[in-house]
Amino acid sequence: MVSLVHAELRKLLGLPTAWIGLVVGLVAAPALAVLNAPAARRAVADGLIRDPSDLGFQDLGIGLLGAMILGVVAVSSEFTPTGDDTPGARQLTATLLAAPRRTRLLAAKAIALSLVVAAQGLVTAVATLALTERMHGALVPPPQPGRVLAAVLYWTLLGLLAWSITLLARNGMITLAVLIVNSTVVSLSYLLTKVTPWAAYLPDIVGAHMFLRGMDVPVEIPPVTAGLVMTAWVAALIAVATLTFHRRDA
Amino acid sequence: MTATRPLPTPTRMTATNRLSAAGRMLLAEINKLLTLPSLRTTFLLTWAVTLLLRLVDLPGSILVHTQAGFLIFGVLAASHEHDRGSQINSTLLAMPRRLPLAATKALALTLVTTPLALLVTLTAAEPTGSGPGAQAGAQAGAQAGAQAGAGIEAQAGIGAGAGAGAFHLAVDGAAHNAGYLILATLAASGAGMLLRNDVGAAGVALTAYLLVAPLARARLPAIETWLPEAPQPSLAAAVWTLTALSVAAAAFHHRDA
Repeated sequence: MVSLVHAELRKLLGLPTAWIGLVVGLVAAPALAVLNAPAARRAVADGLIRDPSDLGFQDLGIGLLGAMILGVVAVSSEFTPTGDDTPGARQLTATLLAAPRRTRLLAAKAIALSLVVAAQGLVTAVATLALTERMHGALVPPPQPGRVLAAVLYWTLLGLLAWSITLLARNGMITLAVLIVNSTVVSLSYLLTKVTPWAAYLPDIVGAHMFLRGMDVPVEIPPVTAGLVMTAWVAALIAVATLTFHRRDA
Repeated sequence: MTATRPLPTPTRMTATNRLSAAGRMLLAEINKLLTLPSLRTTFLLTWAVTLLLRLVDLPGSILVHTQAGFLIFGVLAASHEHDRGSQINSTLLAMPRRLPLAATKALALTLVTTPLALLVTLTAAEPTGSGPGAQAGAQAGAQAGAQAGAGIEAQAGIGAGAGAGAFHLAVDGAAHNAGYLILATLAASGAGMLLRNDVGAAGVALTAYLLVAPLARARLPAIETWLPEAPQPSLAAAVWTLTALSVAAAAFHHRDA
């Protein structure tokens, strides 16, 4: 199992697109925190921000793009045709030849992805929060370690969400489109909460309750419940994806 | 007993032969776009999502979200040439002059996208800056949005103007919004041609139009007029599209296929 995880880690980190995801995820949130600083300072002064301790955490949202890209390419790279000379061949064929037990393979893949994404999330969260503290000083209360860990958990779960959807769709485009549309400034899930309060339980919205306090949604969800609901979503999706991957022709 | 069938005289030209070379290039490119299963699926999904979002009565513009479908449509239209079998090699064998080929591709994509964009904007049935009712609604919404410092209200305001628009206004608005979708599709095809990889190009196009542009609009008012804003066609949107297409065409011209 350890060697499988090691192999999957090396495969993931050997992908150029994965490095794009890594760098985008690492750079975007701190950059936004710097770019956002003047506007954020004004917003706090005007009392527009419900909870100033949310400031650095809010900027983390854009870096999630990196986690999603990592989740998508970890699977889509297996299904992309390998070369011009062999249009029908895909990396997955070789992977399954080396690791024929599919559930174990998926577990190794999920562990490898979680390690990379969690490390990325931790570095980004610490960097972004440190920058926020430097720029706003006493305006923002120092972040609690629990919330930082919750943000890293959210980051990891979102990567796994992207991973499981891609595994179901066997196509990176669909996942990328769905997830990017949903992480826009005015996200689709957020707008749906205006239509029905149940939309607050969609995975991306509910998960944010783990580390954001002043969210503008109709239902108040305590952080632990939020974490459990999001974990349940991701676990369910992974279960379905594993079942189909186990049954389907590769 | 052999029935001699009159052979077609060699001088008689078929419909395709009678066309000029440029016309045949255009027909070939349109034919490619119309027969790609991935494009058909992308369009049908986009249309279905538009219909669904219309039914749930979402606040704000639906097209802000469904433009993603058109961006992917544009990316796939360009990047399919570079997929697995590298179809681009056959294409260049048949049509070796690269700049005219790039122009033909853009024209073919415009022609194919136009009816699809109209269908989607008519389904979304949103008014635009045209028509007094819609304009007033948009203005009021934009003011409210500026006061609250958020874009949602502005879009809701545009939606509020909907009631005032008559049917012909709706059609007018659909044509207007379709213009934006066509521009976005063409820009995405530029990204596809430049990056030659579908997932990479889709990531770039979607991030640029759905994340970077709206964020930059909100944070940096100084460059606001230079950013495209869904679903309004603007000079900025046209400039983005032209830039993407020219950079892609130049790269296509100079690079090994």
